[in-house]
Amino acid sequence: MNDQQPQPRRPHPLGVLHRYGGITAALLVIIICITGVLLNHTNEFGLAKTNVKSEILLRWYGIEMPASKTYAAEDYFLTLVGLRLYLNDQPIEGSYRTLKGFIATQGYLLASVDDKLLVLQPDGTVVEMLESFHGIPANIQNIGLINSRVIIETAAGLWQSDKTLSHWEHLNVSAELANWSATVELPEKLTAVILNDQLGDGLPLERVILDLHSGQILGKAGRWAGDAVAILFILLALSGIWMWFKTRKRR
Amino acid sequence: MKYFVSKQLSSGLFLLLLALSVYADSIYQQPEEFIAEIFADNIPEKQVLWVTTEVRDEARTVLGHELTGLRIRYWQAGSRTAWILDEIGKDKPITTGIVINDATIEIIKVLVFRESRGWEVKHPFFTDQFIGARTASDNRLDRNIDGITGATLSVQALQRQAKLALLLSRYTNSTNSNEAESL
Repeated sequence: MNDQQPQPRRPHPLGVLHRYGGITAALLVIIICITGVLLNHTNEFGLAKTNVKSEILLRWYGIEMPASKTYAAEDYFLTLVGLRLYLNDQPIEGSYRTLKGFIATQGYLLASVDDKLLVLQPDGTVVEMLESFHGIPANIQNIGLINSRVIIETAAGLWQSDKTLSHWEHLNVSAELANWSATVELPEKLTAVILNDQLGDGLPLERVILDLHSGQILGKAGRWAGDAVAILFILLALSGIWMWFKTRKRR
Repeated sequence: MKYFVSKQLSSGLFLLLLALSVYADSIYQQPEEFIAEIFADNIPEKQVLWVTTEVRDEARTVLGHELTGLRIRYWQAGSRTAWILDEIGKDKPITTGIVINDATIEIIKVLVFRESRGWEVKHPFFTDQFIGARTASDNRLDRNIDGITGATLSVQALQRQAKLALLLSRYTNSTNSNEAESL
């Protein structure tokens, strides 16, 4: 009687490669197939028109919020981000380069933008933009209030307006007497909304899916990984064909 | 060699100046100087025209877009009103001073031009066409304004400004126009 158990056949190295290669490739195949199907129907799914809002993804693509500056007056926050002005989270009509002060008075909001005075309603509607030819002093550094009168600080000193902002006269008082507008940190809740509005325009979903499909989402390493996966697929196909022929021959 | 370097530097400087001249604002006259000139330094009090729904609706038909702001400041002495208006030609606003006298354009002058082309509209041979123009039906001008090749958008912007000034001046004697009493 022969007690010896039959030794299991040692698997062929190509078979081992096929098995583990197949498991490794499975997840990648699923990703490539799903993204491929989505890309085939870009228009139907509106991928080019849908913008990515994920902060993590936007930062991954190097899209950062431009430098911002915020002033507060009563319950209102006025923020300049890039060329856009926001009253709380509402964008204000127009584009602006500089913001140098913000106050609330007589039921209106006043902002010094681009060396002009922007008059707003509390809902963000632009009432008017007052410029130098309206009598506004040049080189505005800040705006504030003294006894409910609007004060402008310029390189040439302080200027006080009448109630209508039509006439400005030089004021010889200490700047410390005025209640000047000051920059503040924008509350986190508003930061998130503005960030979303600022960054959401820049990254279409189609771009992300295309990059997922090609491996480009991981940059240069992703491209090489994509090449490695393509080679893996070729090896799987070749090893599969080889094993099929070998099994057929044995039968 | 020295001549060659000098020539290169001169060319570079010329190109730099050319580029700067293209992108800098061209200020032909400061708006405040324009106002002082037309009123012979006897500048009247600024007036305020509130943009009512009626004004806004008419302005939209004239401009082809919404009028920015809820009120417009202007100067008035007798039947003469002066307006400083901004209107975008292609990308940037053209600032124009317009004087209306008895519902007729008396003066129109490009004060600040910020576009990279179309500056020819500043010349009197073009702006003189507007002098004496009045509003015809549907807020159109009562005359044809000849265009300038290569400055079509600036020409159209000035036409819109002229029509808007005529439109706004119609409302200056109505109840919605007054000297500002408060902010």
